[in-house]
Amino acid sequence: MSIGHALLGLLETGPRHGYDLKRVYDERFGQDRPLAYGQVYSTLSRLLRNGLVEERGVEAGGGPDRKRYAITDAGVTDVSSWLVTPEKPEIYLQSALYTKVVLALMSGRDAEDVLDAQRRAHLGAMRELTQRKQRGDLADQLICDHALFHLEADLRWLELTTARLADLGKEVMP
Amino acid sequence: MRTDLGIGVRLAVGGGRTAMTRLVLGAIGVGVAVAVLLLAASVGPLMQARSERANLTTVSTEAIAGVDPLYEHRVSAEHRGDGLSLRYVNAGGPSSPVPPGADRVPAPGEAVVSPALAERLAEPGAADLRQRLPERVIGTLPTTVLTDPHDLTAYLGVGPEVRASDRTTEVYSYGGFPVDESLDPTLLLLVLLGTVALLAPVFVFTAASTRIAGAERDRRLSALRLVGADSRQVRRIATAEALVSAVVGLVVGAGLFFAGRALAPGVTISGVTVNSADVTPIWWLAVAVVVLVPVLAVLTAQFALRRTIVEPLGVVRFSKPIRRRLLWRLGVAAAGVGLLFWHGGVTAGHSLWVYSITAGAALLLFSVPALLPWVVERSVSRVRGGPTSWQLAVRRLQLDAGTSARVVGGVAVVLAGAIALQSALYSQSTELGGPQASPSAQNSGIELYPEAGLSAEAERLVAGVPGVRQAFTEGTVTFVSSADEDTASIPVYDCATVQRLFAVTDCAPGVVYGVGDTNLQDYRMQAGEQWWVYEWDHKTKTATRGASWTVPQVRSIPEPAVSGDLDSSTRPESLFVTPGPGFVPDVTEGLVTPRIRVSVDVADQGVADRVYAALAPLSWQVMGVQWGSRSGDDRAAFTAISRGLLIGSVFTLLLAGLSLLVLALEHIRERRRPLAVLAASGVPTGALGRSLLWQIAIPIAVGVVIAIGAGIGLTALVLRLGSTPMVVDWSSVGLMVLAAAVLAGLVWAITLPFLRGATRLTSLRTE
Amino acid sequence: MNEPLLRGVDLRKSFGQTPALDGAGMGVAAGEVVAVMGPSGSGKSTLLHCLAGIVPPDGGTVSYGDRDLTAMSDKERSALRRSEFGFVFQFGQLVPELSCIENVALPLRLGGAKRKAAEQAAREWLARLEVDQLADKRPGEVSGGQGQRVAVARALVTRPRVVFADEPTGALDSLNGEQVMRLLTATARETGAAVVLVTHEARVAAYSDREVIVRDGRTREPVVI
Repeated sequence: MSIGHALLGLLETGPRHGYDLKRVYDERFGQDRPLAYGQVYSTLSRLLRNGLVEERGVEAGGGPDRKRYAITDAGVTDVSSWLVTPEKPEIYLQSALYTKVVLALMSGRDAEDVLDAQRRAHLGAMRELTQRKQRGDLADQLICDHALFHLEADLRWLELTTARLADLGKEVMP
Repeated sequence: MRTDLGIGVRLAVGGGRTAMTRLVLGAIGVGVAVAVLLLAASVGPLMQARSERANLTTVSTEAIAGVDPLYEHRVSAEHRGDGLSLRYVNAGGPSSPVPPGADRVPAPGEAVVSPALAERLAEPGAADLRQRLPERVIGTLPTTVLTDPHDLTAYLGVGPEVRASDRTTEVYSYGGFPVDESLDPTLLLLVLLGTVALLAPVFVFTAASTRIAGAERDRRLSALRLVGADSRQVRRIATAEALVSAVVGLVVGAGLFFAGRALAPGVTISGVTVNSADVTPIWWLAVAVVVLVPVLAVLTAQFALRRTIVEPLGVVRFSKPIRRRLLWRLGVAAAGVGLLFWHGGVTAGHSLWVYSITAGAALLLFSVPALLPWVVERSVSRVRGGPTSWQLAVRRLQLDAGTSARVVGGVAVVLAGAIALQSALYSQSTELGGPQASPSAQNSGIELYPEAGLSAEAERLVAGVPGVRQAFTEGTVTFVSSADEDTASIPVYDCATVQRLFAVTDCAPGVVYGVGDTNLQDYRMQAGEQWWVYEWDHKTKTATRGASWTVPQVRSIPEPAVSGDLDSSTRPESLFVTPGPGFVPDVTEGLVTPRIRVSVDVADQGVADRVYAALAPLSWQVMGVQWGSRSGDDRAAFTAISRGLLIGSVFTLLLAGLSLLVLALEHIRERRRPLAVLAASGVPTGALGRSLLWQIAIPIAVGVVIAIGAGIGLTALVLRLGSTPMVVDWSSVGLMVLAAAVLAGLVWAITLPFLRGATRLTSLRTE
Repeated sequence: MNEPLLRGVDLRKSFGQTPALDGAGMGVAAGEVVAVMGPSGSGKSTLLHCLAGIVPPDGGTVSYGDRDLTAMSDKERSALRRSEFGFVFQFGQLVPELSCIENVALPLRLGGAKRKAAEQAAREWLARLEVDQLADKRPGEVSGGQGQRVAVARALVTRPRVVFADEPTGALDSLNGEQVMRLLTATARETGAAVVLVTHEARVAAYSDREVIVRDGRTREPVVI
């Protein structure tokens, strides 16, 4: 995901300090991976260089972290065009899971065990997401659902693969 | 359009077991209706054929130039309780008319007999009959000249001595005179009432049968809409479905009719047996039946769809069904009651009377199924609470009371009709010799009418017969008052008889005797009045005033000790006159038309045949009438009618039970899943079963109440016309109620296994 | 894991020639939500039916507390189901003639409760499942999700110790399914009821505390790799 576009989008609601930006970002989007300060500032300086943001005053006390940033017109245009540009659907043709299953079969191990273990892991993650979803607000629910649906897709693949294991076994071990 | 009809036909015949059940039920309903209607359409021709045959043997005594008369002397008698019609004939000359069915006039000592009589004569045990009819049988009468195929009839040749008899008629030609052989009006009313009562449920069932499995049909029709049939097509498909069952029903009905026709000769109603060939419906009525019954079936099918819109995903019923209107339902009942009160403005016997009574009864009976849905709906609409099983049933009925009420309507009509008929029968039974009539009136005596001068001989022959308790000769002399206004017939006993029957030792001729204080008041005579003997000439059929007679004082005699245990029909009269100079000097035996009153042992069944056999030497010269035999015919009619009614009621009840069963099964199948889930949740099957019982029992209970009201009301109204006091036969009402209860229980018991099947695990499986 | 409240061991059940369960076993503790997962035809519904005492297994035992369900008569099992268990199925479980509140009150009334009291309790449960406004409607007049929530209310109204739910969201869309699951598991946890949840959907199973996988009539033990 483009962090630059995310920060620009956040700045569109009003000028913010760098620290403030990081906090809001973490709250909304950084559930799994909070932003590092360094990444915030390096991103901001890149946006500044490209004329998408501008500095809007410095709070008393000085220091680099007291600068306020605001979005420029070019920045607004950039966010708009980013929003309407569809994300490229991610296609996982060679996932680690697939590799594991094939290898398990080739090495004569029980592929069903591999799949079951993975299913448990997935379900564990989904359970956690479901709990978080039930505690959280609407934004939380949306994010969790997104993840849940992806995990569910993985699980469906697992189910299908389990059902086809017999065929797969014949192909990898002729 | 042809395709639509084709699809409908396909759905009707090829839809698996339920579709077949539906088809069979519908076909039975229509079939029974067709058979009964065809039978009803045959009543006219049947009666016609009978009276035509009866006409064949009517005689004309009008002299025809160039034709010698046939002297015919009709004697009625009995054998084994069956009426025997003997016609002793003597040809007046070569051109005498020949009796219908005979090749020639039998010569003296010869006989032409009906097939039934020929059979009877040939029986090894019928020696007594052969003794009575020693004539040589020279031919058999064809059944086409007999009113009933089972008639015991004979033309017997006899010598010219028969011509002298008072009772001999001179026949110049046979046939051509219509005889009115109609049922006793009371019996006719019963038969009509019975027909209506049995036809009504058939119609109700026909109407209901097209609605059987309605929910399933709705689903089917929705499925058709889903694949693109429009609503008109759907209606056409439904029409075709109804038509199929109607057509199958026609075939079934025709089959039933022909089967019944073949069985007809074995059935005797009111002593009347029917020829198969006579049971032929009037052709245009038959065509009407064949056309109208399917039309009726289709119309009811369309009527059932009238307030529904078949949508692709289900059937939309106007969710708030129009409140059932009471007015027209009451209107039907009111019209019926009105007709029964008005009865065409004419009295019994008129054809308008018969029609208006029948129509009134029909309307009153049809108002039962019309009123029932309304009453059921009203009575359940306010019900709240009660046990769970009750609640489930009531809620179901609140949602759709119509279907069960309609089906129960069939049961209710049967009950109402049966109650009305049983009560009518019961009330009439006194007159008809039914269970209420005194049994001693039966078979207690025989009256013999000998030819002139033979009474002493006949009395002598009879007196010694085993089983005969008493036999005496009684004459009757008729007087006419001075003003020719009044006639009075007074019994005549000769002194020998008086001394034998009464404790009178000083019997004198020409005296009027009265037992106890019996006097001539009953004959509107007073001592000292002048009356005349009324002389009736049998040959010329004219009456003349004979010798004059001054009414004497009645001589009182004590009650005879022996007469107490004799039945009134064979007991001597309590006022009589002895013949002799003091009374009317020249009263001849011929004038007093003597009869011999024979009292017999009631329990002795064979006594009548022995009496007739003893009289065999007198041949045609004595005629007998058995007391109680006529009422025996009526009793047989009574039994036949009530048995017919019973069979009809049971059959229609079964029919109604069958449709109730289908309804209950459909109900179970519709809520298979909820029932299974309830059972899984631990609800005992018993509670679910009880709710099913309530669901069947509530409409039936309401139906029974209405049926009892309508049935008794109908009886009261009909009997009011016959001015017979009404006696409600509560035991048969109870029996009908019991039958309805048993029916409900039976239907319920049959549905229980299906309920258990529905609550099994398989209904829960979704995988 | 706590001591299981309900436990099935080595359960076997065949329908005719077809084995539906072939040595399956699982347990559920009080207050625990267990998802039974598996592909179609794996026998998960049959496992539920055996655990709930709806059908007696051909082999194996089901124990509830210290009682042996497999040794009980049909009548005893019915009584147990009525008093201690609650059921939610995929569809078509509400009696169409009865209003929603009457449907919910039904188990209480069958248990002998007075109508007033039963309907009072039913109303409270309808409110907990956020469908109290539907009390007087008939099942035919409410949506699938609403009907399913009424069904959940009916399953919970007797405060059962174990709730059996067989594909409770099977006929619902995601949003309604989520709502039903949220309400079902939340209210079950509040009342301390154990839940046996049969589903083939992972997102529904994610509402559980743990899952049991059924395949070919057998439950799969967790494998540590």
